[in-house]
Amino acid sequence: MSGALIVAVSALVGAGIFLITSRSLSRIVLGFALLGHAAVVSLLAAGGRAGAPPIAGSSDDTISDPLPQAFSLTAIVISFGLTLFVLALARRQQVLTGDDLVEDDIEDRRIAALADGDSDNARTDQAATPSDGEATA
Amino acid sequence: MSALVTLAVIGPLLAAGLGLAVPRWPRVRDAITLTGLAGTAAAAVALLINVRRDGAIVVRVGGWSPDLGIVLVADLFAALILVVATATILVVEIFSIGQRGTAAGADPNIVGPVLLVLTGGVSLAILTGDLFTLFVAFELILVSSYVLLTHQAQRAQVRSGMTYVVINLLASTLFLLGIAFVYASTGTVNLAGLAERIPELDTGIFENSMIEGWS
Repeated sequence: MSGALIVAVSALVGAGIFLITSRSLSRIVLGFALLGHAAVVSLLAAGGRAGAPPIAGSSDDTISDPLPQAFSLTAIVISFGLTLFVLALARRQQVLTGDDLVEDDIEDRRIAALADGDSDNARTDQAATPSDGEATA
Repeated sequence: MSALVTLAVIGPLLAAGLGLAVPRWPRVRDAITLTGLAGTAAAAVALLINVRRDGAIVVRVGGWSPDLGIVLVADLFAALILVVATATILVVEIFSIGQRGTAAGADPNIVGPVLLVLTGGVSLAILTGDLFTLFVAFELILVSSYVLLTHQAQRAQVRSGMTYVVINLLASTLFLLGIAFVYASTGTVNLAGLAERIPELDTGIFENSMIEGWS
């Protein structure tokens, strides 16, 4: 496996994870695209040494492993479709709220407060916003 | 009886395509969805009976060798899980038809076909014999679940759906990276092949680890 490919994969994963941790969906989309590329590059690196085109009988040299190339092709198509879906979701969020920031999960906050032993706060929280609880139930 | 294994995967996907091809009449789409789901559940039951009587069924899709092509494997456990999963999805669809017209009701034109695609993904995930097809099946399931979660596209759905989508995107990409590592170290993604080759691997960093079964 080539050292350059390892460096490329780690750089792509690092940048992708950094972008995914941000709040703006457009950055998350970019981060996901980088992670997808990291996965594709590591799949190609998993195929071992490059050789002749993997067409039977085309050459006397050792041919490349065709399987990782098929995997990469499938992975590229899937990550392309998912990127489009997340972009559509970001657009919808922009229509609904005016920006594309990921909103806080209210239920999750409530559960986190319960786990912290902050049960009094959580209870008053629930009592204070009963309509919200019903809407999400 | 290998046709039953293929049918459990292809059947729901074909029914989904048919459901989307007919005009937007809720009654017709409901009938197609119910027929598709009930047919898949019936195929799963028939598969279970066959596997119980004759043993596991292996289908090499397209006649390729298991090292290169896609393999579908129906053993007793897979057939049992398939029966449980398809029966559950059938009940969910009946419940969703019953909920129609209420505030929680879903759009019948979308939910039926998407639920059928989800069923195809679940069948593929259960029956597949290799890691990469498992990844593809997970993506089928996940994409249908994204659509089911957010198809009404109101604020609450988009807010909750976004967190779900981002976490699942991250998880499935990590799964893909994991497949690359597995392929790099063993040279196969076939589950049966992995069971043979993983014990032969150099234990490496797992030499002194707490993980059992690696040495």
